[in-house]
Formats: sequence, C-alpha cells, structure tokens
Amino acid sequence: MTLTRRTLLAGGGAALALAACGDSDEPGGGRAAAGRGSFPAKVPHKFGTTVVRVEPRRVATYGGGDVDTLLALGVAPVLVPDIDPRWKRLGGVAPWSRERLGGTEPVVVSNEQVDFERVAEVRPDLVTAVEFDMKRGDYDKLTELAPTVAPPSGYAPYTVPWDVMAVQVGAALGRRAQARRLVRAARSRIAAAARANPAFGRSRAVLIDPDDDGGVYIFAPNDVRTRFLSDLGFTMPAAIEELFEGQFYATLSAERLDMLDEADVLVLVATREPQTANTTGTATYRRVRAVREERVVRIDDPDLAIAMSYSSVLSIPYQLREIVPALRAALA
Amino acid sequence: MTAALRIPPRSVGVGLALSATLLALLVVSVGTGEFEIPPGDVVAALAGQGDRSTEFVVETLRLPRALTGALVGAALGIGGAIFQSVTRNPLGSPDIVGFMQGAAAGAVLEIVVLGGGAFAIAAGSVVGGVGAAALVYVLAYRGGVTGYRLVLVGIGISAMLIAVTDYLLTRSTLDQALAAQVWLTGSLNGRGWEHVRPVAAGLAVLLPVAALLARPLRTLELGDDAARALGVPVERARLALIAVAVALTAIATASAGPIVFVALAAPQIARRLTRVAGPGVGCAALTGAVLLVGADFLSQRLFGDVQLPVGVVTGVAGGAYLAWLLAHEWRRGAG
Amino acid sequence: MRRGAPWLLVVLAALALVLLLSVGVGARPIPLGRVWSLVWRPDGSSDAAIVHDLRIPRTLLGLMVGAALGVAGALMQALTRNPLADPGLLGVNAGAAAAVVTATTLLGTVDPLAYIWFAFLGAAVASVVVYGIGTAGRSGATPVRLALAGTAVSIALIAYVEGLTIVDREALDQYRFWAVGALGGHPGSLNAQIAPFILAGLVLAVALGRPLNAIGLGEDSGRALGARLVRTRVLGAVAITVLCGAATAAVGPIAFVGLAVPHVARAITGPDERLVLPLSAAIAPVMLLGADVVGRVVNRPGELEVGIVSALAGAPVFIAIVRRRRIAQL
Repeated sequence: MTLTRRTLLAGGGAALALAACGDSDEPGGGRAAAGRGSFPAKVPHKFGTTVVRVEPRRVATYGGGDVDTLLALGVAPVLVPDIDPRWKRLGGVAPWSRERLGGTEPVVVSNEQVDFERVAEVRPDLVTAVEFDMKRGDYDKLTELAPTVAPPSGYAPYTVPWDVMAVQVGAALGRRAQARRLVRAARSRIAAAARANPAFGRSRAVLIDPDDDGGVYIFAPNDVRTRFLSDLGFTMPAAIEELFEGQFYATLSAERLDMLDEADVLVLVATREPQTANTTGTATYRRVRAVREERVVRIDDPDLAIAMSYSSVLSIPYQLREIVPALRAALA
Repeated sequence: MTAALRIPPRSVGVGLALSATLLALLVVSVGTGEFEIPPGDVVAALAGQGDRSTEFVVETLRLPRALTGALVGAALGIGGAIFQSVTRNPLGSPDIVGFMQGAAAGAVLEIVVLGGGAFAIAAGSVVGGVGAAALVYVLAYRGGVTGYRLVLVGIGISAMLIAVTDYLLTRSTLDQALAAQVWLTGSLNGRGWEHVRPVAAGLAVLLPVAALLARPLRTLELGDDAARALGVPVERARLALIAVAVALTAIATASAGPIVFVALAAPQIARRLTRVAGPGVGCAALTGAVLLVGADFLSQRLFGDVQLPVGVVTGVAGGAYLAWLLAHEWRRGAG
Repeated sequence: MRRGAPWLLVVLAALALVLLLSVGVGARPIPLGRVWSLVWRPDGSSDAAIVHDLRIPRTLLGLMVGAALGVAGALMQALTRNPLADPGLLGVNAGAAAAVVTATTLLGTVDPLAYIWFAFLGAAVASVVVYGIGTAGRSGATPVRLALAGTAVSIALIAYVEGLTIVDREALDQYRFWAVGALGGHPGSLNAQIAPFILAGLVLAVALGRPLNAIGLGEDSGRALGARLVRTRVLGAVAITVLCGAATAAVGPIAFVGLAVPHVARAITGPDERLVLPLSAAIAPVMLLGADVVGRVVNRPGELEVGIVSALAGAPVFIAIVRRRRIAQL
C-alpha cells in the first residue's frame, strides 16, 4: 500500500459546519437538475474565488476524495491522482466507485508535485484540488490553463471533511443542491447504522495506527476517522481525549499503551508491516483490556484503510458495509 | 575592456561552443516533453498564436523552467568558481563546505515547524546556508583558512545539519516530508517567470561585479603574498569575492533548492575544457547552465511517469564525478 | 595498562550506570527502586512487562550495536592508520542504506534478517570502492583522501536513495524512519537475530589486536611480516563489514560513535590495539546508550532518535580533532 503516512495523517482539521462554505445557493436561485449545473458558478476558496462559466466537460483533479465526489455527481474525471498503485491497474479509481467511470479511462498521475504538462495534455475545462496540498504557485499556473478550485479556506492540507468537500466540488460543477442531497443521504445511512446498533452509543472506542517505535498513533476527535466512529455513536475515553493539545494526532509510546485500557473496543489499522507486527507483538499491547477480551477490529484491507481516511459520499456506504458488522461482533 | 583582450583564443572557442550547446539544450527543452507539440506550433505559441493549452505549456511551463535552469546553473557555476579560487581548493565549493546542508536545514525548519510559504522557505534556506558557511569558516580558521581543514570542518558541520534535517523529517507528516524531500533534492518543476525574474536581476547586478573582481581573483590564486606584491588589497578583495559568491549561491538555492555538484563540477569542467589555469568566470557560468539544463532535461524523462527532482540526477552524476576527480588527481600525484 | 587502570574502572562504572539508566528511564515513570526489584523478581504487572519486554531488550540492543560500532571504528582507524575513519564517514552506512532501500523497492523485503544480508553487501561494496579511490596514486590512503572519497561516494549513494524513495513512496515512509538510527520499536526477536553476527565480528576483531599492533609500527616494518599483513587486512575488512552491516541493518545508520570512541580508548590505554579494541567495545555502548537515554528524556512525550543525538554529540568531536591536528598529520 502506498500513501501510508498520508493515509495515516490525512483527515484531521476542524469539522466546520457546512454553512461555513457559503450558503448562497446557485445564482438566481435556479435549481440544478441532476447532471446539469447552473452557470456561471462562483466558488470561494483559500486563494480567492473561481468563476466557472460553462458546464465543464473535461474535469482534471488532483484531490484524493475529489475523484469519488465527482463520480457521485455524475462526472467522470479525465485525470486523477495515483492514490494506490493497485487501483491504477484497475482504471485509477476506488473499487467502490469503479463502475461509475462508465467505461472511460482517466489519466492517472503521481501526485507528489503537479505534473503540469500531463494536466495540459488532457485539455481540461475545470481543475479541482480540494483534498490536495495545493500551493499558491500551482494554483496560479493551473488557473492559466482552466478554472481551478482549491480547498476552502480554514483547513490545513488534507483536512477538508468529506461533507464540506462534497459541497465545494459540487459548487464547481454548479450543483451545490445535488451535492447537499448526497451529503444528507450519506449522513442518514450512518445515522441508520447507529440506530440499528444501540451498543455503539454505550461504548468507548479508539482507532489506533501502529507507529514506528512500537507504539501507536491516535487521531483527534475532529479527524475524519474518529468522526466516523463518533457518528456511529462511539465516544472517546476522556484520558485519550486530553492527549491532543490542539494537534490532530498524538502518539502513545509502547510503555504507555495501558492508557488504552479505558476503551471497550479498539479499531486497529493493520496495513503497514513491520510496524503492525512490532506494536501488536509488544507485551504492553497484549495486556491492553480490549486486546485481552478480543475486542479488536483489525483493518487489514488497504482499500478500507484508504476509505477511512479519504472519506467521501461514495466511500461511506462501503465503510459501513465493511466495518459495522465487525464492530457489532466485537461488542457482542 | 582590457580584460577581454587577454582572453585566450581557446577560451573564446570553448565559450562559443558552450553557448551553442546551451542554446540547443534550451530549444530541445522548450520543444519537447510529455505534451507533444509539433515544432511549428511551438514557434506559433512563442509568437502568441497557439491555442490555450499549447501556449500554457510553452510560455508558462517550459520556457521559464528552462530559463530558470540556465540562470541558476550559471549562478552556481560562478559562485563555485569564486569559492574554489578563494579557498584555492577544488573542493571548496558551497556544496562541500556546508552551505547546501545549512540551506536544507533552514528550509525544512520553515516547512515543518513554522509552516511558511514559498518566500519564507526561500528566506529560511538562505539564512541557513549563509549561517552554516560562516560557522564552517569560523571553525576552520586558525591563523588563516587552509583548504582541507575547511573541507573537513564542512563535513562535520554538514553531518550535524543533516541530523537536524532528519529529525525534523521524522516529526513531520508524510506530505510535509514529501514537500521537504522534493525541495531538499532541488527541483525545477513548476518554476515560472516569478523565479526567472529574481535570478536574472541578481545575475544582472552580480555578474559585472564578478567580472570587475576577476583580476584580483586570478591574483589571489597565486597566494596571498604574491597578490599583495602585485598591489591587490588581499583581505578586502577576498571579502568582496566571498560576498558575491554567497549572494549568487543564495539566489540560486532560494529559486531551485540545494542542487548539489553544479557549483563543484562546473568550474572544474570549464578549466579542463579551456585548459586555462585561472578561474574563467564566464566559461564556468556557461558550463553550469549547460549542466543544469541538461540534468533537468534528463530528470524529466528518465522514469516516464515519475518526474525526478533535478537534484537526484546532479547528485548521482556529481558524486560519481567527484569520486573520479579525486582518484584522477591523486593518481597524478597532485592532492 | 597500569596508567590506564583507574580510568578502566571509570569506564566500567560509567557502563554500569548507563545500563541502569537505560533500564530505569522511559516514557512511563517507574520509580528506580521498583525497577530494580522488578529486574530480579518480575511480578506479572505491566511495569514488569515494560522492564523485561521493552527496556531490557532495547538496552541489550544498544549494548551490542554500540560495541559493534566502536570496535569497527577502532579497527578502521588502525587498519587505515587514519584518525578520521568512521563507518559513517567512509561510506559504509550509505552503502548499506542504498542496498537495503534497493532491496525494499525491488523485492519488497521487510524482514530484518533479510536486511542484514543486503546491508553486508552494500557495506562491503561501498568500503571497497572508497578504499580503492582513497588509495589511488603513489602516496597511498591519507586520512584526508579517505574522508573525501567517503564523502563523494556517500553523496552519490544518498542521492540515489533519495531518487528511489521519491519513485516509490512506501520506501520513503520506511526509509525516513530507518535513516535516523533508532533503538526503539524493534521486535524482541531482533536481538537474537543479530547477536551471532556481532559476537563473531567482535571475537574476530579482538583476535586481530596483536597483528594490528604490527601494522601500527608502520607500513615498512609491518611489511617484514609478509603474508600476515594481507591476512590481517582481509580479516579486518571482514570484521568491519560484519559489524557495521549488522549494526546498520538492525537500527539504521549511526555516525560518529565509531569515530569518537577509539580516540577516547587510546587516550586511556595508549596505542596498544590489544587494549584499544576491547576498551572501545566497553566505551561505545556508554556513548550510544547515553545518547539514547538523553533522547528519551529531552523530547517527552516523544523520543529523539539515538542517531540524531549521537551525530549532534559526535560531530563536534570530529571538528575538534580536525582543528587540533596540524594539517600535515591529517
């Protein structure tokens, strides 16, 4: 699995209310039908405001979750970032959204730095980079090529929540209302899963990811992964919550894994070796209460690990399908 | 220009050949790439007659990138030539005496801890580089600075700075680490006119100064006593020269990151080509430009999809070249 | 030996102290008295698990790796008669790193035992190349030449590693932690895996003490000993490769321990290699574990990796040596 650390650390940041990214609906109050936006669309973002004048036909994107969001809105992007080499061999997008490509084959580019020539080659009429650490210089250049939409202001790189991202991408396509409907649908699926499993609301859960020194990373309450668990009803143990001090993650050294004893269930990201084996092999990990009681949900599948940290309106149903039964079994 | 009259014919020939090579490299760099454009359309785009994508690729991407490469290479070549002459040691170049490692540590500190923007990163690198070079110079000073002590102290300080950089990288997210890694190896990707202008302005100011100082520089190579006998104010000339070299290296580093070995190799190659003992500032500048534009051309094409930072190519090629240079010099018994 | 006797006691006392600190100090505060009783009578508590399963293995790892690096440095300095010799400076670490990262990228290897063999290979190739460049020409390998050749080869290899890790991001994620030598976070089985290599290397090195003394007398008088000189060099190179390769494969590159420690040992015993080598094996863990303990304390609740602390502490020693000696000697 590639993108390991990014997958680990993506997704912190404040979960600002959706309202924060602009409640002024489509200009003229025109209601966009699914598949057709209303234009010109104005999209405010951290570098200013981009105006998309006509319905984009060729959308290039550097954002991880942007890909899913575009597909959910019915637009197959012509250029996507290389999130995982296994996906690249299968058309460049996540397994749960592959069929939405409708037979088209996007160009897949490595996303360490913007490869401007490859972007120019696909002759885009819109570039989105919401879940991407876009630099001012990148934005200035891409804007010369096509209208470019950056992350909304107020978020550190890779920390735009999936719901805010959906509306930002939707706005670029002139389809805010459609994007909001998608967000509402995804939220109600999560709420339904929470209602069906009242045990979740009575339990404390911690998502842990093995670090390189035999300990674990834990993600702050506003991280996308932690938020997913809290949306399902889980709470975070108080002692853990105090660790973050404004950071979006904290490390727990191998000697302090006893602090996890308060958790009723642990969600273990187990996609990196030898880190996972090192951490789970330590005597202190084996003594943690949830480990002794076999209440650990292992995320072995790299696709699920990516879904958890690159959440989108399309990944949510997949996440629920994969993880809710395991959580229910762990608490049984 | 009396100095111009004394330039040996071979140097003029080499200079012309280097200029022609540079021009050819620039044309190839602007004319080819992942985005295929027929030569006619390239010319049309340069004349402002192409379509939007073509003009974007030619005028916003390739031309400023190639020019930044040429200018940064030239600045590094001159900076290296002056450093090597002042220290009277081919290894006294900024990449060996800690400047580049200091620049790297300064920039990574800015990226990881302070979270500054492009300008702050460039400023951090300049401060780090100048600070490290000054520290090395002071520590190596014992009633004068000799080449080898300077180099060895440089190795020690570099090791400490690399430790600091490594530490900062382990405390960063992968994305900061990647941003830092790309910056650390030196890259020309995404360099635009905003990078061309400051380097061009810096060269426009510093090149004439370097040319004026060419004669004292040549005399300094003969040794302090000889220079003094010839009426050169040794300390003042040395200080002025070092200031020019540091300024040129700093401008280059701020624009493209710490690109190693161009400053080391360009003056050496220029000397071999011209077969002139003294520092040929002009030829060193042209050689530096050719090396960097050539290395950037390769770095964009070696691995297909993945673009390597140009510093990887100069690092591998330059390390091998330095090893060869050392073995060669020592075999001849000069070292 | 007589003039070194009190110092020898100091070294042994320092080693004992640092071993105690390494077992007694960590992220979880446990009173020293309790640690002491847990060492001898584990009571099944989580404190006992921390002491026995985390701190003691980590301390033993530091002991072995430190001894390996210190002895390898002393061997290098004796063999090349070069006061600046150090596995980090002479390209051995960079060679091991390049080989390990190549293996990770091409073969996807992550097994520490497999690391060791690639590290051996890389360390051996890099040292041969550096030595070959450094000895080119008539005047042979002077300290400056070896240091410069080591720097040139290291820079090329590190640029190569950087290129690979940019092409393969998973390799970057593993490499950037491994690139900073660290004693923490290794599986408990690592000690048993590297112990045979390090013990064999240490025994071989100490056995070379007497022939190395002959080399120390100078190339010419040493030459009278004929074939034994060649054999000593070859065996010395094997010992260096095994020690550095095993240490680097286990915990990542750690520079300057091998440089500074032999100087301290020689200052205590004088230039008798039969004493310098074992004494280096005792002093180096003091420096390495001391740096490790400092790293655990200065950056709480996180840790500062030992490779960073030792570079920050060791590089000034290197600069001091460079400044103190006249250039002619270097």
